[in-house]
Amino acid sequence: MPSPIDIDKIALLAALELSAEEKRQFAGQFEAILAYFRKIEEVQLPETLRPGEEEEGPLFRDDVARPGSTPPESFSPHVEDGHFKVPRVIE
Amino acid sequence: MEFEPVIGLEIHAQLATRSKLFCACPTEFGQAPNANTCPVCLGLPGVLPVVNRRAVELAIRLGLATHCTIRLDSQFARKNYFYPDLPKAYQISQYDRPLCERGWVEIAVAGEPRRIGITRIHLEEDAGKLVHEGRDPTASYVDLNRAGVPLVEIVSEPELRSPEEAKAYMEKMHALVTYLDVGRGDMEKGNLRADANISLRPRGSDRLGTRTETKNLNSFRFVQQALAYEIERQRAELLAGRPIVQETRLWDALGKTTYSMRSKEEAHDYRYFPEPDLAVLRLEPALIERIRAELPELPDAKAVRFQRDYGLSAYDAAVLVADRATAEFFDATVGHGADPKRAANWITVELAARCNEDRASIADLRFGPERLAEMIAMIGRGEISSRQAKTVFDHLYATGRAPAEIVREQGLSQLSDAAALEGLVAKVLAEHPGQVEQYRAGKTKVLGFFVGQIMKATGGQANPALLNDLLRRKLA
Repeated sequence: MPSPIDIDKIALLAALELSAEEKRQFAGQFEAILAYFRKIEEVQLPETLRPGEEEEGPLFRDDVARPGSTPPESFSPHVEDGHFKVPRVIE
Repeated sequence: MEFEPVIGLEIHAQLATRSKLFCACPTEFGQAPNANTCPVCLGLPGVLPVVNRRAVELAIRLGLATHCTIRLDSQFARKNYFYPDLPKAYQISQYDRPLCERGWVEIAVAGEPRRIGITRIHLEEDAGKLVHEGRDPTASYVDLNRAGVPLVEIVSEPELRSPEEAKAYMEKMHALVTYLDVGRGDMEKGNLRADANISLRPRGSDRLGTRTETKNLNSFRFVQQALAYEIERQRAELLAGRPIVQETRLWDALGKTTYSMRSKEEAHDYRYFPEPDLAVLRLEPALIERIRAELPELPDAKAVRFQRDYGLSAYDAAVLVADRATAEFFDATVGHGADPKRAANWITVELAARCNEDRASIADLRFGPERLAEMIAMIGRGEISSRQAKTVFDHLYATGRAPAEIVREQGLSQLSDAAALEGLVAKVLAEHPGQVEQYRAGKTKVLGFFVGQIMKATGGQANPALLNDLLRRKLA
């Protein structure tokens, strides 16, 4: 069976440059993951147990605002004047 | 060859909620960068989104007002892409099971009504904001206050056929969003913005050409101008035998051109899949019916009522209802006893012109509808002439003071006391026996001379209609 993994496309979408060796390695890992999903798909589930189809319906929250709780400095070293600083990106 | 444009709009409108779509952070605009953030909207590990009930209700309200079918089992989906303004590296949106589907709105261009189909309206979260003007020229700066703010995306069918229709459609959507209190519709803050898809095809053909998408148009005029530009650009390409490149473009408001933002090679593949952290959005029919019962009077219905109850022209009614605040100001002015046609005229002509000059809106006015009604009543009672009313209106607009006070202060009151005028008329006629002769000999143009004399004597305050009437009677 031909590989269902288009590793070049995945690398492009992820904006990653991969070496030929990495491509072989990751394509193999992806195939192993997909094989596991195929195994899960073989399990026959009743309709009501399909993921996200639970009977109890959505849990809503009321529209009540609370002040923000996570100052950027508290978890990122790359903060300047309250902004997160990232490599320059302009489309 | 003659080409026909095929246009569809995707409009994003920010919903008027206090908190974000999936967390309790405030949606307030203008806060310090990253002040309105928490682990959920920052995309930190180990958190779960919880849906804001109000956001769902507002989206349903818009769906019902645009004749959509509301799905009782819609679903959130992940839209995956990498950009620094998107901390989770996916946006929670909706894909194959949107909340609202298959609706329509009616627009009118040059008096021609047209029904435009709505493909879908779905809920999604906004992304953050990138700032490129920081200290370090090799860096961009990320503010995630907007990340997670609730939006609806309203997708039209490709049924718009001109830039003017696209503008009218966007205006209609803006009116609906603001009438329904679904969003604030403040375009300068980007509360409502459109992506415009357009392709050309030979007139009469039913095949679609290759389209371009121009993103982030945040004014009605920009939509119209960008589409007009794209029509000319694509026409020139096609006539020169060059194929249209399917791409995303941006509008340059200064240069009045569109330019390519990303090419097909970089085109995104969003790898949508159902959001595993959120259950299917199951809704009770009773909820939909409750929201339907609470819908306010919408612009189309208001326009019909203005024509029927107040005798306004279709044009005046359409101008008044295009903006909710203007329509309500008009309604209230009439409610305070003003003649509807006069009120419509003052609001659509004088008031609109001044607001336009000052880039102000009804909410910024220094006076309420009762003041305008007072002024219109004074015109009706003959206390001020229409010409004097313009001066009164200038002062009313500038200061918001009571019209009667302005009239007194500016010495504008019109002399409408017949007895007082009669005395003046008799005096002027007695002083000019020659002209009286001429008039009686058939030279009726002399009437203007008498009017001039009395206006001079009264400082221009004599009621012209009453004066003309008195003069004719005395000279007969």
